[in-house]
Amino acid sequence: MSLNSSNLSSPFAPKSGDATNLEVIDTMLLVETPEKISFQYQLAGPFRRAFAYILDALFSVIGYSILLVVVAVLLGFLSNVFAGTAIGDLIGAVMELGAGFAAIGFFITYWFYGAAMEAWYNGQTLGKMILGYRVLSADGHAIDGVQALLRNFFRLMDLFPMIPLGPGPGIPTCMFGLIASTISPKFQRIGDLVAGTIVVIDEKKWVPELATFSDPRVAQLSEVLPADFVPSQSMLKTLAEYVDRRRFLAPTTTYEIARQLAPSMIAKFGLPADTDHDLLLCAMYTKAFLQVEQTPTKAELAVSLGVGV
Amino acid sequence: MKAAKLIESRQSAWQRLDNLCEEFGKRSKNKVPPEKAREFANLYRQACADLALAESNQLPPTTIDYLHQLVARAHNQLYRSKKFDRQVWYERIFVDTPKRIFNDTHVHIATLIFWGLFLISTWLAYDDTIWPGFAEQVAGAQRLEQSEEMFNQFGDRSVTTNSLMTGFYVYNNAGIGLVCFVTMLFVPVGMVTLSFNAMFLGTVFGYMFRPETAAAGMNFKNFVTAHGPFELTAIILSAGAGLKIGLSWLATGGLSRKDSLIKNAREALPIAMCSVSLFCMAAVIEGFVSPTTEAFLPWWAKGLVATACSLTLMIYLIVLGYPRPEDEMEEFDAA
Repeated sequence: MSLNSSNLSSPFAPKSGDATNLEVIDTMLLVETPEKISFQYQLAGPFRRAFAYILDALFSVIGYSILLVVVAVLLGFLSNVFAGTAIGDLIGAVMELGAGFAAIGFFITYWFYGAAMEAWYNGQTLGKMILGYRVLSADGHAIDGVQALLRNFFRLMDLFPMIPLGPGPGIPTCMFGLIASTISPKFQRIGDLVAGTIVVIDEKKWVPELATFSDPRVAQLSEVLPADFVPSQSMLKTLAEYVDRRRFLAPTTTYEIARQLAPSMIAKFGLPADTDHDLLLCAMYTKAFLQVEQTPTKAELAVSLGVGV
Repeated sequence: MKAAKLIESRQSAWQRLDNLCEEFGKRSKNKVPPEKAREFANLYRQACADLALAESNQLPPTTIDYLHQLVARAHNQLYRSKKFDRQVWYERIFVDTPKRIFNDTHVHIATLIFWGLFLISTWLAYDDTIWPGFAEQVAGAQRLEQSEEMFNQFGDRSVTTNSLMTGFYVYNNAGIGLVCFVTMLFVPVGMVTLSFNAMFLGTVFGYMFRPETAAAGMNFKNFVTAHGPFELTAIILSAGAGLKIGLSWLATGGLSRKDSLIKNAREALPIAMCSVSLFCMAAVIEGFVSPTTEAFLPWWAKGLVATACSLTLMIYLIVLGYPRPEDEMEEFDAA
C-alpha cells in the first residue's frame, strides 16, 4: 500500500510540519539562530500573562492619572507666577483646552500604551519587565511596530465576552483569549495569532556553581573509582540533578533515591557492598564534573572559536 | 580541560555578557557605543560556541540551562525590535497606503454596504409612509426625541467645552472605529457593528430632515456638514480593513490560515491607522467648527470646509491611489 508508494517515508513517520527549525517541546520553544546555534525559550502561559496585563492596566491608569494631576498642578502654579503677562495668558489658553487634551491622552493611553512600549522597549511593557516576559515574533526574532500595534488592538477580542453592566463596555471575562491560548500550541491569544507573535519568559538566572563537598570521604572515594569511567549524558544529568537537590532532602529520602542507582554501580565498580549510596553518587559527581579530562580537541576548539572571532 | 575549570574560566565572560544584556535592555534606543557593541558581539559568539559544545564538554545540566537563557537574552538584544523607520514613513503614508485603499476589494465592499444601508435608512426614516415607524424601531423613540431636543437648543459653546468635546469625539469615535476594525475578525459580529452604525446614522439623518422637525433639522444640517466627509470615510475604512482580516482566515488564497491571517493583518493595519487619523481630524472639526451657530459661521462656510475635506480625500485616495503604469510594469517584472 502506501509503504510501496513513491513517497519513501512510511505512513508512521512523523508528519513534516511547517516549522522545520522550530519545535515545541512541552512549553519550550527551540530557536535556531543565523549563527547556527539552537537555544530554548520558555513560553509564558495565559495565567502568567494575565497577571502582567493586570499590572499594565494598573500602571497605565495610575501613571496617567498622576501625569494629569502633576501637569494640572504645574500649570496652575505657573499661571499664578506669570499672572498678567503674555506667558500667563498663553498658559491660561492651554488650561482652557486642557480637558480636551486629557481626553485625547486617555484615548492614546488606552489604545496605544502597550504597542508603544513593546515597539520601543524590545517587546516589553512595564508589567512584562517586572515579571520578566518578552514578546517575540513567532520565529523567535524581535517584533516590529506593526506587530506590536496589531497584537494590542486585537486584545479587545481576547477580553470578550463582556458581562454587561448598564451602559459602558462591561466587565471583561477574557474567555476568548483563554480558549485561544489553550488551544494554540504556543500559548498564543487571538492578538498573537493575528500579529504572529509569542510571549516568552526572559528571566535572568545566576551562573550555577558546581557543588563541592565538605566530607573528605567523597574525594577519597572518587579516587578509587576506575579511571576509564566516562558517564553517559543521561547519567550526567541524573547525577547533577541528584546532587543539586540532595541538600534540600531528608536523609531518608536521599537514601531512597540513591538506592535506585547505587547498587548496580557498586557491582560494576567492584566496590565493597556496604559502600554508602549517597557517598557513591557524590563521588561519581566529583569524578564526572571535577576530574574527568575532556578530549583536548573539543576544549581547544571551544577556546579557538571563542577568542579567534 | 575539566568541566569545572572550563566553567571557571568562562564564568567572567558570561557574567559580562549578562551585564551588557541588562544594560542594553534598559535603553529604548537601538544605538550603543561601538566599542560596547564589539565587545557584546564577541561575548555573544563565545557564549554561542560554549553552548554548542556544552554537551560534548560534559557541562552539568544547570549550566547548560543557564547558557540557553544567556544566549536567548543576548539574542534578544542583538536582534532588537525594529521601530517605525522614519525613512520609510513617507513612502508608507503617501505611496503605499492610498494605493492599497484604492485597490482593496474589502474597502469597496464596506463602502457599498455602508452607503447602501445608510441611504436606504435615510429614505425610510424620512418618508414614514413606506415603513411606518421605521425610525422609531431602529433608533428608539426616546433617543430620537432626545437628539431633536438637543438640536433645538443649539447654541454657542465655550472654548473649554469645545476642547472637551473634541477629546471626547477622539476617544469615542476613533474608539468605535477601532472596535469595528477588531470585531470584524469574526465577520458576522463586525458586520452587525457596521450595519448598525450605517442604519442608525441614516435613520437620524432621515428623521432630522422630516418637515415636522425643520427647526432641529436646520441646526442638525449645520452641525453635521463640516465633519461628515472625514468621519463617514473613516468608518468605512476601519470596517474595510477589518473585513480584510476577517475574510483572510476564511478564504486563504492558497496560504495556511495562520499565514494568511498574519499577511493580511499586516496589510490591513495601515488602512486602520489611516481611519484613526481621519477620525481624529474629524473630531477636531466636529469640536471646533461644527458647533458654531449660523450667525458666527454660516452654513455655506461649513460647506466649504466639507468640500475642502472631500477634495483632500479625493486627492489622497484617487490621485495618489490610482494605479500607475509603472506599478503594472513592476508586477510584470516580479511575475
